[in-house]
Amino acid sequence: MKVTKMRKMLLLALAGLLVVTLCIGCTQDTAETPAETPSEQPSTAQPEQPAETAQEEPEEAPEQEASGDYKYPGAVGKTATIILKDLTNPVWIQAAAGAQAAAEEFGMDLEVAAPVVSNNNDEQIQLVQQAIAKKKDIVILTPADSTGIVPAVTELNEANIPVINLNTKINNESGKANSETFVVADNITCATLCATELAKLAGEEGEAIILQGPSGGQVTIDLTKGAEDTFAKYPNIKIVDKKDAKFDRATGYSVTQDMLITYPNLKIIFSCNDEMALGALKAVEEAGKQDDIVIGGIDGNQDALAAIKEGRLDVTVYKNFWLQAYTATEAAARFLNGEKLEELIPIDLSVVTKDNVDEYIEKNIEYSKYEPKQ
Amino acid sequence: MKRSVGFELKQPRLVIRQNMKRFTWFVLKYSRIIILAVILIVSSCVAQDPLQNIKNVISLQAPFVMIYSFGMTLAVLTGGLDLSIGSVAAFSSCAGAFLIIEGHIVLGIAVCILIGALLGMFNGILITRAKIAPFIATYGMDWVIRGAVYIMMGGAMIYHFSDGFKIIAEGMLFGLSSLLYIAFSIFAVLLFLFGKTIFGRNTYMTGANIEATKLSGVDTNFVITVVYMISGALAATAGILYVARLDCAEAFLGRNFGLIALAATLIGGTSLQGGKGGVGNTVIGVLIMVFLINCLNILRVDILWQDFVFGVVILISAMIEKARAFYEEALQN
Repeated sequence: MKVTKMRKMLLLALAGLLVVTLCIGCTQDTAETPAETPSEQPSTAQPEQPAETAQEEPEEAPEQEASGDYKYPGAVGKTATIILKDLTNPVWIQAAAGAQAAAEEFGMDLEVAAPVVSNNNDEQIQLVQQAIAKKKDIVILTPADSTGIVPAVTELNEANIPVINLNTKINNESGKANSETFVVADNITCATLCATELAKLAGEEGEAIILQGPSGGQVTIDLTKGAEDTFAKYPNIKIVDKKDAKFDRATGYSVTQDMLITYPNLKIIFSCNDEMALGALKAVEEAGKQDDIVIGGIDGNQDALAAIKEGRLDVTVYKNFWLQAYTATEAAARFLNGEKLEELIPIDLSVVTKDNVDEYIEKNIEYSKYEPKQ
Repeated sequence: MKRSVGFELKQPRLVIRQNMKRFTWFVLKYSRIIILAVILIVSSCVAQDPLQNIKNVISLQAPFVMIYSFGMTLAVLTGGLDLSIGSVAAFSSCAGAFLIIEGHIVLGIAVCILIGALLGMFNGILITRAKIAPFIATYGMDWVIRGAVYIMMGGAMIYHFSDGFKIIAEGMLFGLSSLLYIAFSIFAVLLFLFGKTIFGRNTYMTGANIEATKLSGVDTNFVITVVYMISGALAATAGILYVARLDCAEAFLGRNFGLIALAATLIGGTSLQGGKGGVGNTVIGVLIMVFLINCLNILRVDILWQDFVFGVVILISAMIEKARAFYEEALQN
């Protein structure tokens, strides 16, 4: 008797806890003040264009008028959803912040959505279906899987909801997954920039390894291709191995330990993200080879920028997720305003080395201000 | 006369068969050590610097895996499993890191391990009081805790710890890292606790037959809760050591700890039914796993094959365990 009573009490307590949590969650949502618009104008927020990328200049900075007029009258009050790959990784939080900043600036009602399990295609499809059910005016989509997302995009096309493709290209070989434009910080370009800088630092010779993400992922494939093509231009650089380090620092660390044993003459480590690069850095430092080996990552996260400032990490490529999402949201606003969009809107990419790292450390702090809201 | 001759002829054959069985059983019993030896020999033949390689793996890669796999092993011994170790490691190490970065090193480490134990206790309470199956309880908790750590960190990382803290993972003694000594001490304590004490005996009994254990007057709820607390505390220890080693506390830490620990436990031969195996098995399991990954890396095996090989080893290990049990039974009859 006593036991069952206790169990009942416990269940009641748990149920109560759940209700309280829900209540708190809801009140926070309604009490939320809208996120600040960054005081900085986006034009000054754009990074310097490196000499290597001869890309077209993105749109001129919009000027918001004090009277409350918006730059794209047609977009004001329209509803939009941005579907990201993830909302736990700092870079995607920056993307959410960028999208939100743009939505405020252009007077749009924007919802930020991302799968609970990062990079989950099925969940992204569900999020798209929710957006259709809510009759959103436009959807901005960063597919976790270029091909896997196609059925969802077809549904959007059938529901006549325009799609802005961001970051990773939707595979439209079938012609049934149309998007209005593709806003991209191209991964192949990223890899090319990083690999070129690494080759330069290594004196254009030596053995190189590539630390990849999980095999078969689009990002891994593109980055590896970029790195391979670039290193192929230097006859004295040889890629001796490619290893899966799961985009993870601890794995990058242990894989690099093994690689240092296997290839004692290693000179270049090209890592497909900063996390693995930092793990590799740790292993290299412990083996006392930091002067012989150059390491490059991609993304430009907080920790990597700090490591570059200290002169430990050599290179990273700043992908500027804030600007990516900002530009995509602006493209959405322009489209809703009746403008015709370019097929491709490239984002400026920049190589970060010890010389220019301070600038990006400041930007990173500015861009990370994201207040989740409903 | 004839009869006795027949008898004499038959007996040696029986003896031989019996000896064959005993030999097979013996090989199966020590098969894991044989596998480990083979992997070690292969990797040492190929590696440029075999000694450094073995030192790397034993003193830098294996200790982390061992520490959190012990927790999983204990949970498996009680007939459950603990899928929340990865998120517990992340949550408690991040919480501890907030204090450590302010300079409260000892307090931070203590808080980290305490939080780990508390989360483990919550797992235990869900399993014993709310009667939720361990798989569901710890799987659910894994999501809850992982969510909580994402909220707590808000995408930020904590890095640049003081040398006083980093020394716990970077210190060296007699050419081996402090990690190895920590892992070994934990192993010794657990070996004693679960091999020589009444509590340990009760844990094995709970795993083997919970009803009978309960009827014989053992508070199984207490045993299970304490085991999950130990598991949580060990996960937190592994977490804080990772933070000290990699000089960075982040919310992603240990996303695959649960599955790696389960694999190591199974390769080591601890039975998922509970009550069979132990932390000693897991040491071998972890070594096989870590050296296998190392060996594949050194042999320059294509990455696409690694997961495949891994799965095969887990299956082989399960088969070995079944075959051993079969021969053991045959020998006893």
